[in-house]
Amino acid sequence: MNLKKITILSFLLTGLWACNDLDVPSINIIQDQDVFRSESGVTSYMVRLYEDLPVEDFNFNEEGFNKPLNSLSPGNYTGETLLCMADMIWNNLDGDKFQDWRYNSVRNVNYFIGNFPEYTDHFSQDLSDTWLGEAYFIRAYYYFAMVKRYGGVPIIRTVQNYPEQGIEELKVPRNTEKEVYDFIAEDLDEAIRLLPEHSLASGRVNKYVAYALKSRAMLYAGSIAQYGKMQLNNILGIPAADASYYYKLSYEASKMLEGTYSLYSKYADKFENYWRLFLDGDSPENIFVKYYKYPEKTHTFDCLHIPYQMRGSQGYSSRFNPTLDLVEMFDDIDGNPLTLEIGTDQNPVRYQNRMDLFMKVEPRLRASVILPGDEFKGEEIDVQKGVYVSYPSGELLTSADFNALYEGKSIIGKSGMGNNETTVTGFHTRKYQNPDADKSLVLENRSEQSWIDIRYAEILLNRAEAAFELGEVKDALQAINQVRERAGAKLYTADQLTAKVIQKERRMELAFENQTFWDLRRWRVADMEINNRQFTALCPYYIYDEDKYIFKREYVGPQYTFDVKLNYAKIPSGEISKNDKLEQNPGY
Amino acid sequence: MKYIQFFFCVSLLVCIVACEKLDNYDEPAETLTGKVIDQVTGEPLITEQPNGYRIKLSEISWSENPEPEYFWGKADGTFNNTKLFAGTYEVSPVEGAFFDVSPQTVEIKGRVELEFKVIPYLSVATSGVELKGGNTLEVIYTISRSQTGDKILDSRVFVSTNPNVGTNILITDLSPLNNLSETPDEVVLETTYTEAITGLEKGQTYYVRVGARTDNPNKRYNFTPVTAVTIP
Repeated sequence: MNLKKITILSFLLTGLWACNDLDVPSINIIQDQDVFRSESGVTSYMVRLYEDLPVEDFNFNEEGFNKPLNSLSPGNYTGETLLCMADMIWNNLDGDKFQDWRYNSVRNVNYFIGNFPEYTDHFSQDLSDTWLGEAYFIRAYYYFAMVKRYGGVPIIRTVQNYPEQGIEELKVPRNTEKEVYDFIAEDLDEAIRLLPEHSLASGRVNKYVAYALKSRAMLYAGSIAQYGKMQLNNILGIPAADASYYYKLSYEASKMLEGTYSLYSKYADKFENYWRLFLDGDSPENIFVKYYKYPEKTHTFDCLHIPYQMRGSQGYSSRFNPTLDLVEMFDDIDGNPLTLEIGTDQNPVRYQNRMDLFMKVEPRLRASVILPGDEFKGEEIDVQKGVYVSYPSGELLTSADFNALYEGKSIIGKSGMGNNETTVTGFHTRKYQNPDADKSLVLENRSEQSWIDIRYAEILLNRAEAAFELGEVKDALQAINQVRERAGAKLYTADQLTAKVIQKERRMELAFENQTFWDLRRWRVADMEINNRQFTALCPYYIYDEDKYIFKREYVGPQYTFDVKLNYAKIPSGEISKNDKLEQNPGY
Repeated sequence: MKYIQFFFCVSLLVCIVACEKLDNYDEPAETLTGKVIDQVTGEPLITEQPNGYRIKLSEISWSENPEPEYFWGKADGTFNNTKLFAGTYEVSPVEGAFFDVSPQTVEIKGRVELEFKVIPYLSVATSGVELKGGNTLEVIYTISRSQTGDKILDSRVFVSTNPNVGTNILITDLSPLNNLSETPDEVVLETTYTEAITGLEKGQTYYVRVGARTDNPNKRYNFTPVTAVTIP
């Protein structure tokens, strides 16, 4: 052997050995074992799953979640509230709004459910059960957000892999709406089985939160069976015969929360008690809450809702003005339909103070809505649309300018109507507004109230609705009357109870909580109610020579129509071009 | 420096010149036209546009499971689309106030005319649209049907100052809704309904039609033709 051969041989040998151990997991990517073996790892994985929950809170609007300016929210499409003129919605709703195609998040939770069980022996049985229970709850929450929008969607239970699976295999067609609701029920049952009675931390879920979501989701399924139609080869709709099955599931889930939660009743004054319940972190009514904390996680609620006269340095105000239609839905304290004595156009009733008109309204209404002339933050909310020199013969003065005066009297008050950033209906929202926030703090991304995603009053209303449909009128009555008692409304008697009455109660109690939009859809009444409909305002005017106020009912904003096809949202076209097995919903 | 400028100019030129090539595929130019015939009257189905019915096209020349295309049919019951690509299509009228019909498969090339016979959910007939006492409009109508379907939901006299009156365009206060959801269908079909419309303005021409609908998935109305009434 000469030197040359030796050299070549040794090169070859080096080549053979050198590559032996290169197939190691890449060290700059965090591996499953790093995450799923430690408590802190699993907790941080959970953060992402929770963060992706489609909670329809202060930061939810037609474009999705975590949008700080949320004035394009469901309430402004249902006639619950109207935007101020500067931002008024002039178009009808369409199927592209309020989308939530959530399969990215579904993949994350499926990955956890699929892989975490291999690592459970690093933790106590209780702890790993809790985490898995949370994951099942979260998956059910994701799917519920999708099924209530689109009807049947593809059920993906395990992580899909590419390129291990072929493209055709990855294209999953839509399941039926019934199958999706059943899948949600199955996941929630699993969550209920695994979860403990107390959450690991506030804002995380326990057994009862899973019952609460089940109560809500199964109620939706029941009403879709009852009011909906079978369409698209059963991808949409649930057979009518199954209605009582789902109502029963909902009813039983609602019952499980009895005793653990109760309605908030800390203050004797029903008005004060009601508005405080949304701001009290210790409320026994809170079941599932999304927390906010300045400066890490904030929203802009106060800035958007505040009456004009109290707005902060960045402007906004009056983006959610409750309509007269909503206000008149409430009863008076005697249990009669609220009739506002405003008189006729020729001879309107004169009032010394604007609030005199509202002497008999139920406390819940006053606590949800700031009525014109009512007090907020220790100030009178000065809403007025104009000044009559005398009535009816005198001149009417209106203005968009807060400095405009007539004989020293302001023409539109401090929060008056006419300016394009003030209320258009005469009303403001009080629910959730923080009355302690200083004017300097009414800013964008400065509010930190928690959002109560599920509260016990909703569970009672779920229970009333389901029980009534199941023929358990007595139980429905006691549930609805608990809510009315706390609201300061007159209690119902058994013969007054109808499906319509229960629906109305839900709309009053849960007003401005982003529920009515979905409720109107599932009861299939949105297209009937919002059909070439213009909503109304209550406009106070000041009569100068009499020193009195009068009120007029006026139409405001455009005429809205809710197209029937909007009972189901449009499947995003981008998803259909990726997966041609997805069938589009009818009408799109 | 000079060199960079020169280089820059050349690459700019390349960019401008490069994109000049036109799409070499012919623009869609085939025509599909036709009528949707109401089997009860034998005439084209009177409806409105939009929200009357759509024509669904599935082009099966390329794939067995194509994504369908749609276009709106016209209010007089005809449809016309002059911008289609040549190919074989399954065509059917959908989402209208009539029972489903089976699709027709047709090769679209040049001008193709189709006719669909449909059974409407309901047929509405007016026996009188009359002015009473100056400015009250009395509308008398009956509802019938040739095939039983969903529950009859409501009927409505639609009034507008626009000739395209219907669910899209109407004056809500002058268009009373007659809720029939609690009335048994047999009763509805035997009743002659009379609606008196008041509050009409003098000298104005109003367009009036009657619609009735069943609880069909798209909540579509079946309509009568439009009548014009001028208030003296």
